[in-house]
Amino acid sequence: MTRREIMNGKKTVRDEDFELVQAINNGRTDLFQQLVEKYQQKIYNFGMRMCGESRDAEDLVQETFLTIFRYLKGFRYETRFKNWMYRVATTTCLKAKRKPKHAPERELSLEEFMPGEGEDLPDQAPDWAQRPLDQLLNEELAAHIKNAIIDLPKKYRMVMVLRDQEGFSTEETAQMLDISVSNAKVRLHRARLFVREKLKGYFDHDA
Amino acid sequence: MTHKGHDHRKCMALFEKMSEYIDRELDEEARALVDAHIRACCHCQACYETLQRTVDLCRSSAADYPLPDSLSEKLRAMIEAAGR
Repeated sequence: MTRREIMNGKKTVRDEDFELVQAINNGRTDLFQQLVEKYQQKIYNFGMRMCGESRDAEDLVQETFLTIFRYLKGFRYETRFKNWMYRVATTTCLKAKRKPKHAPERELSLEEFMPGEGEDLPDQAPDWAQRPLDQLLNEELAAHIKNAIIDLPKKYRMVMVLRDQEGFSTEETAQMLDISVSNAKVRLHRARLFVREKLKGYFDHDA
Repeated sequence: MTHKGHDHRKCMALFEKMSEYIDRELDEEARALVDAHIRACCHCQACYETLQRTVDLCRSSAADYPLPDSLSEKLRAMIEAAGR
């Protein structure tokens, strides 16, 4: 349960972590371990989705919690603690040097996903878009989706992971990344179109 | 997304807004226009269904990764060292 209050003229978010964070900031640093235990799985998942490799994801988790430990006193409860933690994680991730195996940083344009003039377009959605989801999703497909997301340029990957895998809203994602809501929407749409092309390729190949 | 019998620009406009439509981020008027267009244009209907399915698959495939055995211990040691 999250409550928003005005204290001393400032907006304060009282979320499920409010009391724990306050206790840590009032000297109970031994309780920091509780925050780590609660959120290490989430940040590790985020690291795996962004980096694709366990060692890089571990580095991201360590760097994120170390930064949180050092700067928790500066957290002003202007947002949920979880959102602030993800902001730290995204900043850490954006600062990390690009790996040669990762997709180059480039802009994705809407045009590259638009059908060409005179292209023969389907009258109905393919089987993979109509079959029940639980009959479709298996380990091989999940691995293909993971790789498709990893192939996205980082700034698009970041928005898609936060929106479609971590479950944040457009506004929360924009706030975490310090970009406008409309920019977050543009990045998300292009990222989804990119992944859809990869899925089409996967299912066409399979057919 | 070209369909004889109606304005191709509507298909292109829809193509740009499709994620907002999926996420229910369009206002009522814009949403009604998209609804009407999708009903009238089989190509846009197919395009919408594949994008919606892409989103569903990304969401449903986001399971927890197994945590490395040593990670919790590394984090505990790191925080203890930082607190000294």
